[in-house]
Amino acid sequence: MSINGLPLHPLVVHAAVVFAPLAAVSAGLYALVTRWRWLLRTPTAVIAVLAALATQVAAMTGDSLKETLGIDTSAVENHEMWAGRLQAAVWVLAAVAVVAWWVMPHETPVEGAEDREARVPALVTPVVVLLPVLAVAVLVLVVFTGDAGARAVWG
Amino acid sequence: MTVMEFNGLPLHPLVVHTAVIFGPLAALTALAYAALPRWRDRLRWPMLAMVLLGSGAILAAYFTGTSFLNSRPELKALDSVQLHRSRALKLTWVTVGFAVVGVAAAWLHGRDGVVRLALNALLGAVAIGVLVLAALTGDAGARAVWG
Repeated sequence: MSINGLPLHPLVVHAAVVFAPLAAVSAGLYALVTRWRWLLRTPTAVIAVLAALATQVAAMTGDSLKETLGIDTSAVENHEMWAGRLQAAVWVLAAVAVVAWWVMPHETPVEGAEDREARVPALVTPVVVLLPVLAVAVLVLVVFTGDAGARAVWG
Repeated sequence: MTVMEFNGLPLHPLVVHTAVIFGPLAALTALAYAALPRWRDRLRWPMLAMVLLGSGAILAAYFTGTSFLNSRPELKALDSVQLHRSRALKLTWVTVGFAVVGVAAAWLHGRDGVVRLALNALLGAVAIGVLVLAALTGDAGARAVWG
């Protein structure tokens, strides 16, 4: 897969590198800082889905680039291994972020706006626990994946 | 000249990710601010934040790029690197203008008439400049690495 005669992977990767950490930080703050929940609710869900899509496309274009170049060094294998873990983690983060958007309660300081009640009270605690855990996992995995990828190109 | 590195890898290809995402996002936000009167009030502060973030990212990419080139002088001989470099220099100057006009537009947000018209026109023009030059610079850079 290429664009304008260049492989698509190094272009798409920019989006994954920026949106995955942003999604992780936003999800962590959303879960832990109750006061900001009204503000971070929609951005967290949107950025997490963007991050999952970007990572998915990065993984698919990465497979295609590997085939085109026909290289399978240990550096590339290492990058691929971390990328697979990141892909799983970021999709779970996106799913939980969307569930959070739907079920979580919040209080808003905006005049005229209404506070939100918990839609499914039983899910509030699991979401508050899961989001920071997934956020840390995504943050760590995106650093390892990117480092391994950069090392394969620049190391 | 000190080499800007992170964890044993050159810093430039890392910093470039933020420039590639936030540069164009900042330009699009500024265009929306300048061209959509109904969104103007709501976009004032997001526009300023994005302009500062995008400009900062592009300037950081420029300086780490210069440092990277100095650490590998043999790259200077390559035509592809020269093209990337000359486009990056233009992008950097347009970005400085973008930052100045973006801050001025947010500052003078309440003004009417000629001031508003002039700032909107200028902001739109430099935003388009950033968008075009960022695409050209990125393309030349990618071609230097992957072409």
